[in-house]
Amino acid sequence: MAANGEAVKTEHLTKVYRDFWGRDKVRALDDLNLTIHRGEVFGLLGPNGSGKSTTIKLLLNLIFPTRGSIKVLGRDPDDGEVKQRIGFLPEESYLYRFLNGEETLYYYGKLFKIDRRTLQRRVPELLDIVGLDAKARKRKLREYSKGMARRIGLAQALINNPDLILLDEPTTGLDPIGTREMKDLILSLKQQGKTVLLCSHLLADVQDVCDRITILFRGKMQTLGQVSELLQVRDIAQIQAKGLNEQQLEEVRQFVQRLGATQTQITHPTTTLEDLFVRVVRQNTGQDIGAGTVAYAGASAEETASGKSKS
Amino acid sequence: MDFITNNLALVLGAAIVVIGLFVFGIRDLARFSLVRTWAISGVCFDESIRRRVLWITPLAILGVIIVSQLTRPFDEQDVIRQTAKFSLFATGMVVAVVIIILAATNLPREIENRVIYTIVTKPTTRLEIIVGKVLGFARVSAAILLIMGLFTWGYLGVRAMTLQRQIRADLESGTLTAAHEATLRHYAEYGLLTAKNYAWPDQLQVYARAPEGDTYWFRGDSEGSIAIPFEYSAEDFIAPGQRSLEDGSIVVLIANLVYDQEDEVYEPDLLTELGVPTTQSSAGVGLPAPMLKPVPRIIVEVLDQMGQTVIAPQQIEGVQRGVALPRGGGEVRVVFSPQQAVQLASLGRFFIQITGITPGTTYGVRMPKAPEESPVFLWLTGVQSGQGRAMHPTQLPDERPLILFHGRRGSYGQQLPGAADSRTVAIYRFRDAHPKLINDGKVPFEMRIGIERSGAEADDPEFTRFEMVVVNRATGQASEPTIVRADSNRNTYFELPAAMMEGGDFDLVIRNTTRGHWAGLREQSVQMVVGNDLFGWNLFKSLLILWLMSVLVVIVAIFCSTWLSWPIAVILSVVILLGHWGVQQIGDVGNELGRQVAQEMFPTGAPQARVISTSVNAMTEAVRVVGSFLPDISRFSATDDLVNGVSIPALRVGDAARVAFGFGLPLMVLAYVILRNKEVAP
Repeated sequence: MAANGEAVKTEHLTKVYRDFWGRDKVRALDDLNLTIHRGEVFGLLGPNGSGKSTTIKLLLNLIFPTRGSIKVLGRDPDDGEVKQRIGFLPEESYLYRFLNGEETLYYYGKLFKIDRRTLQRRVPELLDIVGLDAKARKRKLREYSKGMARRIGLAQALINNPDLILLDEPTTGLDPIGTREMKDLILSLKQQGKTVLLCSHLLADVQDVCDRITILFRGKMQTLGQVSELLQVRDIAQIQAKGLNEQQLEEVRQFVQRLGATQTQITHPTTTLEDLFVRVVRQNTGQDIGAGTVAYAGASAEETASGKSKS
Repeated sequence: MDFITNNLALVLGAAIVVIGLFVFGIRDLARFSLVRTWAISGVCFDESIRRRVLWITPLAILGVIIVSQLTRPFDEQDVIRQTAKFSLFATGMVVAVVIIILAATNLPREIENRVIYTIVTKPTTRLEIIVGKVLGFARVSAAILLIMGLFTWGYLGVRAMTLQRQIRADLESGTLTAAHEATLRHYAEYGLLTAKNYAWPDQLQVYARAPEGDTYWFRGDSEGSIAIPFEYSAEDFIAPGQRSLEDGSIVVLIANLVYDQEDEVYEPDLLTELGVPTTQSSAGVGLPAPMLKPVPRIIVEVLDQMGQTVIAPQQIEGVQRGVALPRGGGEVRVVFSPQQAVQLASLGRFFIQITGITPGTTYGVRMPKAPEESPVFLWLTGVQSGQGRAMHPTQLPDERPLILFHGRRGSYGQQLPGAADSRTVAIYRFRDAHPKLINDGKVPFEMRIGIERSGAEADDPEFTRFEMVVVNRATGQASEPTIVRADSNRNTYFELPAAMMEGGDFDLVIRNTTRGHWAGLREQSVQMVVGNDLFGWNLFKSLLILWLMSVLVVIVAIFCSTWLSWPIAVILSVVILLGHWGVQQIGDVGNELGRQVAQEMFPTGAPQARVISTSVNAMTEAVRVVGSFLPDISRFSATDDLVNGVSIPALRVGDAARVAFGFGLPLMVLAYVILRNKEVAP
């Protein structure tokens, strides 16, 4: 880990795609200076073709920069030590379709040289966390639904108990419960001090979990900052109160107008559709939605403490 | 410096490995993990198996069974040989095709469907990815070879058992011919699944009569010849007193020969045709016999070291109709022009071949003990009289004689004509060949020859009879003649007395006693059996060689797939694997190709023809250079030995391993370097 607590740092990072003859074709990323701090959940936003995927690929050494430098956990991105400590969930779960869920995790575990005994404990644990039941674990990935594929993809990204997790569109293909679980998991990872880089089109998801975000457009950084600060509307105040009747509400409105407010509006807050969906399903199944996430947090912490994850 | 020039491919390969691993890949080499590599190979293997690649083996097995049942073998041993041949051919085909497709498509597919993202973002190095994939597909080919090998072993075992039962029944019936019975007894004794070790003769000479004293004889009537090896550099051909070859050198062949003629009367027409001087124009009635004998003549030609004619008799001044020997024998001289001297100078090693062309005549030459004593040599004339220099024959390796005696070349090798009283003999020389399998004082031998028959003259339509005599070179003792009957292109099994082979240095003298039969002999047509290995072990060695070939195929295919799309990678892999062989075919045409193409395109236009000829030859040369760097897949031929029941020498396995890894290792490192610098995200 970098001494100054930087999980990712890019300086003047530029990527130009060239054609067969070496001529510039597309400038996908232009002079990106970005710092992601350790322990934060960082959102990378932007429309299609803005350079989000290019940034992730550069951080993972899948492609090489045309100009500029990258430090991931204080080292070059092709450093073995770095790869030992990162987890990556690609945009779609690009996995071996002929392996089953368990075999997939064992395979990726071996790539981290995790010993068999540790894997025997961690694999079922991770499968529980991502919500793949015993039957699903033995099925080939080619038989998985999109949601199941995301879940197993997430499990492989966490197999090494990483310090930095890059999640590319993590909620794509997940149902609302799965989305909620994913967001809970991200928050749980944050609680464990891990850094999460989240790349998503679903802005609501980003808003729910991210500490800071940046918005890219045409390869350039447009905005960077705390989510709360960036979304704040400073000339409008919001008061929340519980247990007031209509008459008391009217008194509040008059009081506020006397203070000089030009526009006043009193409404009843609505919950999100996601919250409603989760509540309905929970009531009908008695399922504890966040149980897996909590269990993972406990197990990971324990393993981290005992240092059982081998490099 | 010479070592580098002579071993350019080896030096280049070593440089690629050292630079690739220790300059580009030192970090990845230091981090190399067998656990990760094995895991990657395991996924390749599992994927192939789950894609039902092995389902092709039952199909191949079915094909082998059907084809082997439809063939028409000529005897019991041939049944086994043909079955083994089909089985190994099918095995090689299945392995090569499956592996090349699997290996060439794997990496491009993983990049295309982005599975590679989840691999390269883990601590795996690209070196581990390449090695893991090679290992994985090598495991797949091993699985295919194991299944096909077990089938081959079992199927051949069952067939051999059934045939042995039939052989025993035939032998008990007592209705067989002598030759057939000898063969079947051999099969019954040694079995049909053999893996024999042989001692091979190291030379074959065909003489007009068995050598006596120091004069050796070759046949006339264009049925016999002698070849004398010379090996000199171009500088050696510069005439004394001259500065360069272009100044003109004249080379003279000097040969001291004797002859012997039969007392025969020739028809006048034939005599005229042969240019024989006669005292009368009518038939030679009343003339004394010596006057009727034709003048003994010889022709001379130059052969390169592959035995191809470089300077034909028609091209040598005064040789067209033959050079006459002096009456009673003596010295003949043949002059090569300065242009031909330049040609000789460019050859390095060449042979002067002297052929006796006169019917009813045998030619004799004294066998020299040292090159300086040779009765046949070249004389390089000097500018001034007395300045000339002798160029003596060159001693070939393996103690070969300075003069090589040949029979006429037929379809199956040097011809040994048959006659009840034939004096012509073929002598196989065995050196350091110690008998090991001795049964009742006899040593088993095998012979496989081709026989050409003249229907009108043949006195045995089926078999050819040979008289075999073993002569111990140390003691001079000779065995009693053994009569052997042989059929064309079939193995003949016979036994010869071990007593004459003590010390391991002996000659096998063969005389063909069947009139109208010409036996075609090659240097390795006869061999002594010195051991019999287990067939299963031989099959294992054969499969091991096939596996080594498949490893090379995997490496080539993966190398191509690191920088090409898979269809192109498959094609390029095939080109690389077959390139050396293809270039060898062009090599046989040599510089003639340019001339042929030019002649076809511009039969009359000399300047254009020269341009085309030079261009084609330059391209041919470039292709030849490229070909010399490609792997020689002929080194993976293990089928022939197994099919012929010959024990595969460990050296051959080593040779296959040398080609597989000598070419494969640098290519694997190149594949790694390419992948290391490749952006795997499309």
